[in-house]
Amino acid sequence: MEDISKQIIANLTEYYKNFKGSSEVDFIKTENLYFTKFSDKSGFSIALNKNDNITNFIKTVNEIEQFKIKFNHSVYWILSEGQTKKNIENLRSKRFMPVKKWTNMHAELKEQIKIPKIKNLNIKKISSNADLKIWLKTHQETEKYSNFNLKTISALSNKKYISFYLGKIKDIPVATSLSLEHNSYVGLYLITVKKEFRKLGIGSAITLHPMADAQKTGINNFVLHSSKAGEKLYLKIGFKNYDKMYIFTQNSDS
Amino acid sequence: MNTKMVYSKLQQIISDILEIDTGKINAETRNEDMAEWDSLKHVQIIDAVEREFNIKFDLLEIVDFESVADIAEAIENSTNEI
Repeated sequence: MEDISKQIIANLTEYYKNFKGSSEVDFIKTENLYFTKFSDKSGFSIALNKNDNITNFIKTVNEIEQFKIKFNHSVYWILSEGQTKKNIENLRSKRFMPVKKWTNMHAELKEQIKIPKIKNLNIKKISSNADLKIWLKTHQETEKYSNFNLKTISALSNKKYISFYLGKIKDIPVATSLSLEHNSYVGLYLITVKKEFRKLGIGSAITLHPMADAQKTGINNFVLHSSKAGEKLYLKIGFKNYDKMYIFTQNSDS
Repeated sequence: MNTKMVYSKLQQIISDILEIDTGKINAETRNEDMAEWDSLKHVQIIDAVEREFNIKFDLLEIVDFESVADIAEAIENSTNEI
């Protein structure tokens, strides 16, 4: 299971590396942290081992502080649920507050993936700039905090290990997803379905489509991180909960 | 403290932090429906609420607050425990 934890982190890091700062990304590994520095003045730190007790909490926090000062970056700290629970009082005393919670999920699917047939739904892997623009617009309309732009995603669409998927119902774009292959694992990201088209099975289809494509190339392992709302859908299509991660920010107001 | 007072104070805190009119905030207001209410503002709101009501939320439940009603309920649960 430890391998899966590492794969989830590796895939997530690869994802952010590509989406946050494009080519200007630095990775810094210290005794306690894996720090990713993006060119957009943000960064995140991941405590290395999901079972790690973070033996010296203060030292670890100081490392984050140094990154913030040195690079003038805002920093998010990602901790597993176990690490979070073990450090509740420490986190409180240092004014860390969680801003998001993800459930890390993993699926190993060896049987041929079947994509549910939904009337009038057409999902395709994007290959043209025109479709990429539609993908972005659909994503932006669905995701409140989307900060992607055409320049970023255009550059990424040329990468062999990243694929964009767009779902349409009768020419109306309704869903997006993206797959990223890293170390023989495929991570699934940016799975969105427009509000008015939810609960029709489109979420399953837009998730399974890139998985089925990956399976054709011999990949059977898939990872994603889900919000509370999406968990049920992913469990239904064969994912299992691996662990939870909390994303913290340090509140400096007093 | 009664429910009405909790909501009144909560409305004021949220309105101050998000810089919007109190009239735009009610029990059903959900953070995902408001562009102004991003994750960093969420943290500021929670921090201000804790100071105003002199309470400490369970750190792990903060991230599950999705609406004004969720926060109000947690405030009432916390103040009832005192």
